[in-house]
Amino acid sequence: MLGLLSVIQKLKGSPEQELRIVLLGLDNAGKTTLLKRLASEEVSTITPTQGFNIKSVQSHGLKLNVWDIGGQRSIRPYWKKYLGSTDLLIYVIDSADQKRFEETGQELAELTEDESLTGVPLLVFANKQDLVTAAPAAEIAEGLSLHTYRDREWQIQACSALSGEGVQDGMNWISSQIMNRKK
Amino acid sequence: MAAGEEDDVEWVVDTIAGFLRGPAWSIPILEFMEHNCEVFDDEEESKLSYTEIYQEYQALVERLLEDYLKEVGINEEKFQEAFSSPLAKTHTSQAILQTVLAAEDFRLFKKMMVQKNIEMQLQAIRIIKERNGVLPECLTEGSDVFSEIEQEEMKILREVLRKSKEEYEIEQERKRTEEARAKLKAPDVTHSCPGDSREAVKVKESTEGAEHSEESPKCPLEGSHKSTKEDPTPVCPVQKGTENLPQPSCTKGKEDTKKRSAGKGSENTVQKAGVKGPDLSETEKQQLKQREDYLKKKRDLLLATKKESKSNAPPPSSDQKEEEPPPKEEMSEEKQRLLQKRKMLAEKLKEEVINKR
Repeated sequence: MLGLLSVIQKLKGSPEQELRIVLLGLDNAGKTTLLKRLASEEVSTITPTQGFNIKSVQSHGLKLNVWDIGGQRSIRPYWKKYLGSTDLLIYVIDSADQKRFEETGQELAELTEDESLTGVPLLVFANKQDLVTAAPAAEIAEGLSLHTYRDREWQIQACSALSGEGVQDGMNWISSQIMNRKK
Repeated sequence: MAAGEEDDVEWVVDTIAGFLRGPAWSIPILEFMEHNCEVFDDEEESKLSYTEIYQEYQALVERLLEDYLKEVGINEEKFQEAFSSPLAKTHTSQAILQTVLAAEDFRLFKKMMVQKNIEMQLQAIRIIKERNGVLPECLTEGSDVFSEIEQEEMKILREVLRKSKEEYEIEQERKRTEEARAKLKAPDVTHSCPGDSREAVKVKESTEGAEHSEESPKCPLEGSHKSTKEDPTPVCPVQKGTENLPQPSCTKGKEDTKKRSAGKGSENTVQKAGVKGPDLSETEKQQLKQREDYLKKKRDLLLATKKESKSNAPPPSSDQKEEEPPPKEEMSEEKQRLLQKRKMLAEKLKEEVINKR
């Protein structure tokens, strides 16, 4: 789509490579907090997202355009509109919300079946590890049956978007994925 | 041979740059923006509805470009070659390309639409003020709490509006004398100049003024203390009718404003954000709604008038954007000068207000 425009786009004069990353997950998983953390912004006053947010993040010489789309049930049907030409999917899980593990697993399974995301690398953030009731990442990976995903690269990373712990590790994995792809 | 190829590339680039400057491109793009900018605000978070509008815009841009390339016989290959060459950079500017680039860059698109929305609001306010002499209370001090920047903006706006009104009155006065003189001389008088769209708006709106006062009686057109002072002779035919009506909501709003403006900066932002603020009282919500409705009405009117003037006007010149229709020959020198002055004021206002954001 828009073959003509991509040519003109080059005239904008940003030589660096731009990548599109979509950030999804249930409501209250911490997507917007993570986004703001990635952009080194204040994370103390975040309200439920009714629409979506976009931020550019510089990482390892790449420009990552990260799209964070609201996760409330009523908004989820809109997710698929944002999946086109995505380079990488980040899925965020509230590790302390055990009651909704099944629900979040279903949403993820449905997402990965979407055509636009075929072969797209997946990074799962097991968020809210700062809470004592948080389940460990390994347990969540098992619950999500991540080991059955064979047609794409995936990684699960324990983190706390609030404190920032583990977030950089996830970003390092993303960069390594993109470097591998370029080769 | 090589020189010939370069000529070819240059021709393709210049042709397309010319197209992007011309009305076949700018009119449909501008129309799209005017019709869709209303939902765009400058909140950081984007609404889901933006995406749909953005996709429509992408389709429009692609269609316009493709149709044009087909028409002039430039195939995609030639296009790619031309715009990959260094010539493309020297022969085009970011300003020309902005509307094209916006189709590939959502954030640029959003910025453009937010800006257009602000422009339209300002235009609407100017028209209201021109017509009434003062702004209805729901658009001035009323329930709104202004930040410092906004207060400054309002100052500029008021000044511009006042000048514009003065000019209008002078113009009217002149017209009256002219008419009187003309009656003595000849029977056929050209009443209004077709090129002056402001004139058309004024006439149209003044006939609708009465309707408005009936529809929104809680929105008195008395104006605030300040603007009343500034305009010793407010030309506001609907005032009398509304004065007698009970207006508890507005009075209350004023008191609230005084209290609030004493402190609490953070609340201002909530106010500004409007609809979303959970701690808005019923009256405040109502007033916001009133204000929204009022502006909406003005916008619709504005759009209709714009459309009308567009379809009536002769094939528009290339630089259509936000310009008054070109003055007709029969326009007197004085009128032209006035128009020029107004344009400059509007430009200045736009620059001041928009660049601040």
